[in-house]
Amino acid sequence: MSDKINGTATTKETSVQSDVVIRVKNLKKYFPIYKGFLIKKHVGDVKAVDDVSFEVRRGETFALVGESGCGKTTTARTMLRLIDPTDGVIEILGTDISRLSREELLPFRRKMQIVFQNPIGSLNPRMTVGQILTEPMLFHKIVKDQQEANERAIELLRMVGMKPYHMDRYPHQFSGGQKQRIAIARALSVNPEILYLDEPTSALDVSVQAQIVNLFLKFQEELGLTYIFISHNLALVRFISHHVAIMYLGRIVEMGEVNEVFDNPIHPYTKALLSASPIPDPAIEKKRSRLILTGNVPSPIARPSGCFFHPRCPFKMDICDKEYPQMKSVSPNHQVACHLVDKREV
Amino acid sequence: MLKYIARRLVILIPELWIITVIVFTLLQLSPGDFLDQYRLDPSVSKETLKAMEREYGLDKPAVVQYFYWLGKVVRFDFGQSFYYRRPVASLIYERLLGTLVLSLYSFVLSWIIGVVLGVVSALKKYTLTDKILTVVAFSGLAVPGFFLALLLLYMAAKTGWFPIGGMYSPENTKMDVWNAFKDIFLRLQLPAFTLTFGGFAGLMRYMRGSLLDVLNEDYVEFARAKGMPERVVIYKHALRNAINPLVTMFGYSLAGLLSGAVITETIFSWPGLGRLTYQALLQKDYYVVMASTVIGTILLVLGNLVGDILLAAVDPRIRYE
Repeated sequence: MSDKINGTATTKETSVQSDVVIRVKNLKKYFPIYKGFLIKKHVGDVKAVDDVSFEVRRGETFALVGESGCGKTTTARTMLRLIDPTDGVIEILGTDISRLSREELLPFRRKMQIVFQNPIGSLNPRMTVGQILTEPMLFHKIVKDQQEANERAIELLRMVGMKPYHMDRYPHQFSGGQKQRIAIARALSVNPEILYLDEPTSALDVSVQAQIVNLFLKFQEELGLTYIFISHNLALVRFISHHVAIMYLGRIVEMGEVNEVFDNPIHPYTKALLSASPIPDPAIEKKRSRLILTGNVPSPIARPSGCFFHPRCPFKMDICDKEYPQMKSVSPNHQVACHLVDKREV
Repeated sequence: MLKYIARRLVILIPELWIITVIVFTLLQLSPGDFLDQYRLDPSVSKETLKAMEREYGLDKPAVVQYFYWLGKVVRFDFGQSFYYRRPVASLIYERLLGTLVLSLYSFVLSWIIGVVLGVVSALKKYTLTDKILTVVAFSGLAVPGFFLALLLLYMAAKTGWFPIGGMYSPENTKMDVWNAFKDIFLRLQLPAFTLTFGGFAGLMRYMRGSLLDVLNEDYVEFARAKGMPERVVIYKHALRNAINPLVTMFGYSLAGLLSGAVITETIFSWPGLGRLTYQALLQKDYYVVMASTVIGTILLVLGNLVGDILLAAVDPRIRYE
């Protein structure tokens, strides 16, 4: 079944397991702020994504985690070139796409698809499921005619656990979980290699969440897909992703192999995030010491000096409000940007 | 669908009946009647007044008058106008043409300008173009029609570019076809501008808001992520979804076609239905008011029905069972 949909990816899977499909280097996205009615003055920037670098290997799930407004969605949208980066390199399958024109981007659009958080808004209410699924394939000329497209669409529907007779229905006739399945089928329709999952389960209820997550795991295994996974749900991140990056105010503060980061968090912000999510064992929950943050996330327009986290950090040192900490490796699979690392080494 | 339309049309009958009762009651409750102007006139004798009361049926109780009128209306006889001493039907028919010329012309203009500028302003969000259009639109919404009409009258009087007052010049009948048409067309411009300026602004803001909402939807974002050209994204995915609220408004605004221009018609002395109704209301020319109320109600209900049918035609989510 999967060979029919994505023959290339399955054959490659074993031989190139560890090759890098996404390499983001010093990615920046600033949104300028203007003031004035007729004469505009540039008064500052919202630095939504500021100097973000990471790599993702084929067949892996890379999770972006952080509070609302920390820049994880903007990072994903910039990588999809839905918004243009201010600076930096976005290497997809070996090519830097950060400056490509719309036409030059087309082959990469096929390789990267997105599944949104809200399944209601992500499907055009005027189109039938059949139209929704066949439009991308016809546009990218993956199929030769409408009939082949329809056959493929039915196959895709089966893959996501829907029925062929759903083809002629409209999105509003489905439940949230079914809509999300359709959205996944649509994303898969062009044989992508990379899927951006922007909180794909947070709008669904818990029982449906599990089904959708299992679908993602199944497709990753069968089709060798690479996922960029954006989520607030830390338990889910730990369950499905291989690597994780914690973002705060547009920068990655800690990243690495998911178990290392979650078992041995070094950055106080990571610690706080982890201690904010409950542990479903009352015995452990009672015993563990929790790190509760005070204050709010500062405005991304006027960020604190030095380390952005220092006003809320319980371990603040003298250097913290003077210098932004460099990203340092604490182990081969674990990097962190925090002055505490130097202190540990001394 | 047919069943739905039939049901809506059947509901129209009790609706009409209730509205005529309300309007008739209001007319009766307001002080005075048509004959008051004669009562104040010492040269009109008591006997003449009595005769007129009897002739118009004003000597009978209001309830009797109402049912007398209703009985005639169901036979499509709208009664006599007190003031013009002519059948109401022929009076209205005569004015219908004038109103339709003016209101259809400005209706079409408002919709074309409103929708096009709304789309432009949404696509050029926060640019200078958008800001200028926004200022124009808010002026259109804020400037009262009568004030704009008076300004235009003043301008016309100063410059003499546009003939004003009525729909035809007195020599119209003597002109050849082309000049007669030009005469009406020129006279049409100022009242039409007044109506259009007030009408397109709301439509434009609706169109802009609706399109901006849709442009933020994820399916539009997905169409972009597919790599579709912006033109296709906007026309195929965004605009078709953004048009819904305007389709509903289209239905509503059909109702205003015959009665929406009272003030403009009055100021430009345009021989339209709105002005006729307004004058009839002041003179308590009951049957003229009643007839135009009935027409207005029918149009309102039909307009809404047309809007609903159009909406079902363009949006698969809406099916009337």
